[in-house]
Amino acid sequence: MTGFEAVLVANRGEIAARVLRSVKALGLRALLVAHADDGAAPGLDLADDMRFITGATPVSAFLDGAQIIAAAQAMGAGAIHPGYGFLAENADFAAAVAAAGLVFVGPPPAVIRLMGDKVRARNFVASRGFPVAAGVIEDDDPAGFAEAARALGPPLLIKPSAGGGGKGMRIVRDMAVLDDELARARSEGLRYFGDGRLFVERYIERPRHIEVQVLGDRHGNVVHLFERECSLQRRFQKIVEEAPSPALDEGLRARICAAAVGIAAAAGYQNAGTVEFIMGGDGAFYFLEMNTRLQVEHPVTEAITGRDLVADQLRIAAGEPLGFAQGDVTRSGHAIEMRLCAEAPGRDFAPTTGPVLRLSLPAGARCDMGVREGGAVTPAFDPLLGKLIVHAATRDAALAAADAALAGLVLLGVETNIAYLRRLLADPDVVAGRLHTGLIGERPDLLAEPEPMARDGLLALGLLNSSEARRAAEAVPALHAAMGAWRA
Amino acid sequence: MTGFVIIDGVAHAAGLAGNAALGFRLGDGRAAAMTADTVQVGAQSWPVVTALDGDILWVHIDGAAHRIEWRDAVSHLADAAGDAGGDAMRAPMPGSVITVNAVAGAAVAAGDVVLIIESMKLETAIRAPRAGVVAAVHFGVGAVFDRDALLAELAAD
Repeated sequence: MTGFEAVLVANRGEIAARVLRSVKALGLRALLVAHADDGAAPGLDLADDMRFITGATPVSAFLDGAQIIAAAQAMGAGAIHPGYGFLAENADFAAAVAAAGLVFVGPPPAVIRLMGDKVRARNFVASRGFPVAAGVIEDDDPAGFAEAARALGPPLLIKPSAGGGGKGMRIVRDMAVLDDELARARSEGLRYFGDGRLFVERYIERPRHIEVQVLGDRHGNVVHLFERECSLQRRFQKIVEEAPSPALDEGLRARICAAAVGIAAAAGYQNAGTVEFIMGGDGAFYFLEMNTRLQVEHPVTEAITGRDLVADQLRIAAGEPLGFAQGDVTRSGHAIEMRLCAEAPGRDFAPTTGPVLRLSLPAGARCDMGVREGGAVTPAFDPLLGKLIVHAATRDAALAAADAALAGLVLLGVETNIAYLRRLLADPDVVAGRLHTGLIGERPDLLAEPEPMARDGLLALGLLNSSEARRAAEAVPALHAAMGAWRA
Repeated sequence: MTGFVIIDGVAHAAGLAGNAALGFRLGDGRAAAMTADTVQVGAQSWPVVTALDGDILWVHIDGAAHRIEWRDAVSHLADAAGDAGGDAMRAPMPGSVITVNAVAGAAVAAGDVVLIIESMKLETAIRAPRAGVVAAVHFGVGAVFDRDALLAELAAD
């Protein structure tokens, strides 16, 4: 590979480890920045060299571009891979990396800027003849915005212009509350993004989230690597993704993938990116946004195409041509990714924390983990613990492999969504592939833990491990003496 | 019954009989025994992985992880009585305080937002469980707390 010999990964958790693995596989030096509070992260074992970064909070350290660039230079990095989140879609950071004489592993700053402004991106896509949902943009006519939104009619989806990740989005079905909802969306936009501008779109009922992976090089080649379906979401955030989508026939697949390639090519896209679409029950699809980075769910695409997307990103960033044509990209089988999160589904998916006392990974799955045994989950970062990815010949076989992998994963010390994912994947609509982004919200019965089948075994363990319960059995009960509850 | 085994937050009244020399039995008479990686009740046996975190026993059994605590009858019933008053506003998750909307002495209606907390970039409103007067708010803006921390409480009527 030309261009650079050492790559700094400016991220943490599972994605830092995953990117470092491909950096090393290409024979490049693998460098990492880390925060001291995150000391047991798996990436630390993989890096050839690392520097600690500091900040008012651990998150702010990873948002401090100048500090990260200085660390990269101190370690002799030739390129910076941003992972996802943090600085991955920050055009100013991408420009600063280039200005420092380093290679940013991602698209040019101008493309990041275009796609990062949701309104500009929407207008750009529409102007090139690709489908967007009917909508009204506040900036076009601030005074007439609320009235025009009302005229569009329900159901509406309010979105912050500077938004992303589902933050600040609101569905309005009752137009009587439109003004209130606009005011709340504006205040959330200001708080999360420092920008209160809004736009509204006609909300597609029971939509599917279909996205297309694209790769572009510096020589004008753009290809797609087929679609992923990511309709299983809570709070507009994905928790299960699969490829291919069970909703597409070959004709629709060809059309949606061609639209994604057309949008990427029109934008002069380089490196790995994802064009996201919303699809209604009638198969009509609309541009949602383009993510100018590697996605969390990229492994399902890797599973069905056999490609290493991070290696492709690094080769493209080094100036190499793609080296393959659209016709060379094939797919086989069905892949499913499950996001393992430190959260309590029964308490509205509230984040949880705790030590990782035991971690044992299942056979038969790719396990991209962001924690290791002996580490801890703290409130400093988001709740993603890692991901399981299974690949099988058919969707049914992949669902069975997913359930076996979740059952075989041992993770003790912190509450997680693992048991919930097993219930979700066994839901009849999920099994049948009848997915939409509101499905999880329509299944509150899946949230609560059912009585465990092994309840008697758990009761026995609880009692036998309690010194107090054993004493009570062996002697006269001495209830008030129960200070240390567990047997030493 | 000598106490409660709390499985994933649900209390099950339970007790042991017998002794270490001759073996223990559950309340229904079935023999109960364990090794480092199995547990047996009557004729049924499960492979398990366990880990201890203070008073909490984590168990992976039958393809799922569970959180178990033992409570003797007296402390369990005392806890249950303490929660029944509806005066306490406890942290549903660890995090930090973003906004404090009420001070000690303020009158609140049921459902009024007393504090807004944040954990892992997610905001949650802590609401008054009933109408009343705020007795105390125990954390200020920016303060961090653990799950179940007493964030604020209402004065008893």
